[in-house]
Amino acid sequence: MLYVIYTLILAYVTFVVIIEFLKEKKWRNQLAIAMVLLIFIVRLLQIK
Amino acid sequence: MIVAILILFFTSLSVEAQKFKQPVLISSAGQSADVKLVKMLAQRQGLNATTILMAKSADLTGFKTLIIVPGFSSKGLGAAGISQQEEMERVKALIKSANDLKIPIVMIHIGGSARRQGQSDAFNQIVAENSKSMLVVKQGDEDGFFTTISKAKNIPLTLVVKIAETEIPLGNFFK
Amino acid sequence: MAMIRNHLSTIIISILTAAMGVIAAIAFGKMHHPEVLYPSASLTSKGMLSDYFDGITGTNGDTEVYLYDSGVAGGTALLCGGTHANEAASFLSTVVILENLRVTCGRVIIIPRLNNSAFTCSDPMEGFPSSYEIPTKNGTRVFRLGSRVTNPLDQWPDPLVFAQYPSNQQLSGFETRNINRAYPGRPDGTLTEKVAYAIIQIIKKENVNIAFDLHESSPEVPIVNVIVYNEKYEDIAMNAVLGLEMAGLQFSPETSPKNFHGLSHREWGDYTNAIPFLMETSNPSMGRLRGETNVDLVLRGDCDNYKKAKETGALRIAYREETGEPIEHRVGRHIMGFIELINSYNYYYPEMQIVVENLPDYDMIMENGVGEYLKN
Repeated sequence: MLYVIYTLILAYVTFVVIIEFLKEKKWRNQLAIAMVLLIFIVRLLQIK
Repeated sequence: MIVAILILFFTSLSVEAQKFKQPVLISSAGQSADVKLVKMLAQRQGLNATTILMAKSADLTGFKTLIIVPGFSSKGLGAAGISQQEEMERVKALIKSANDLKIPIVMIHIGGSARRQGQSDAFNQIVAENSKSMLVVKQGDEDGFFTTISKAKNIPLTLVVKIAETEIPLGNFFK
Repeated sequence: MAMIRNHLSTIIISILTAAMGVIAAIAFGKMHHPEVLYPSASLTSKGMLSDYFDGITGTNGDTEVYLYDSGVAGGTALLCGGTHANEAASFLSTVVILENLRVTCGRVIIIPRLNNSAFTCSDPMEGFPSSYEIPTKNGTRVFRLGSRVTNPLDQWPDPLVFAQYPSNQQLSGFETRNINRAYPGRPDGTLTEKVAYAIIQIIKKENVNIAFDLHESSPEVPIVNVIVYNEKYEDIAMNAVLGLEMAGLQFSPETSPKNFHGLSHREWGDYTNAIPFLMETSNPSMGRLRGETNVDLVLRGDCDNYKKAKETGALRIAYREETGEPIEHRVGRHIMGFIELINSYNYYYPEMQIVVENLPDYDMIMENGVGEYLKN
């Protein structure tokens, strides 16, 4: 159950960060956000 | 020169002549695991030996020789559920009873440098000084600790290189 | 067009991120391809651990089981490597035995990757290399270096406090993925507990008489260069310690603590009829005092920090100043321990003999290297 809750939280945070990423105009900030996203997405896709 | 040879001859003779009787009680002083190896060595030599890690004075009944294996182990004491002081008191009482009952004590020290100094030496010393014979793995006597006691108290000392090599001299004590 | 220009950096960075994701996925995916092993001609069959408990079928916890049956009636030995996948000599010793073993009486069962899941990840924050190479006659063999515990992606999240089943002994949450705290396991527990349960099943169903669990530990911990035995089988351990001492190898005998639950030497002995032994060698790459952590340290095992620490004399440290703790020394010790414990077992159980042959001894491995005894 905890597993599902954690995964849902991560999915929500990822969604928020994606929106921030798309809103961002400066490429430096975009790159930084993308690096954070990369880890979230790899984790969500269960790449292990 | 001749005198020296004669002295050597007689000392070796006295070591040769040193015999102990069975049955044997094997106990520890400091609760290190070494005593279990000595138990195995005695078994391999077919000795009539009983091992009681925490032997008390009352356990001496019926035995003709007491082998004590000194070496401090906090883990061993922990497993036995006693403190260092309690162990020391037990060892002192056991040695005193053995002396009163005229049961000779043989000390076997096989733990090498790991069972020297620190908290081990108090046990090593009291057992060595009260023994009739000492059997020691050389690594434990690199600083001459047992040699000194042997000379001062005139106790025969047998030094061997490996633990497994204590088996034959141990057997010879009882042959 | 203007819109595309506006979002150009977003598009480029998205593509870049996707590319990095793919590369990472491939790299991680590789951890799931176990190295090929080349069992000796004595191998009679190969199965999976799930053959003994189908609750782990299809999971990352399922692992290969190799059976060597001499066809001559006798006892059965179980040899397990890779309980902790970061302990190189544990896995490698098992592989050397697997690739050279000849059994002439009784049976030997080998599980080289006991915690298979732990081989698919590495310990975070430790800077451990993910693999190491051993040169052989026909080239080099690459071996994975994994984690101490089950991959968190197979079992997650960890509880704050791990209550061991069935003793209810409390340990740090991390230990919930340590299979050497999970025995006897349970069929409806975590993946780690299920694998532990499967191991108990194989011991029971195959009537294993003597079982080995190979480990390595930090030079500064008290349980190192030891044979840990269940108190019921003290004589076999002591006899082997003396035999090993004659061969010039010092092993300290250690009794399995009665109240420390979940460990192989405790629970295999208490829940099955097998006689369990656990051996530890000294591996400086696992210690807290180590310096740079690289393949060299894993294989050569020489480390100035440990040399210094040993010289201070403040701690008892299992580290040889002149030679370090190279992999040949560690593998040689494990193989000699395996041989001597079996010899000692045979002495006490002559009616249930297990005779193993063709294994390199300590001196041979020290002289020729481990690679000499790896096929291919």
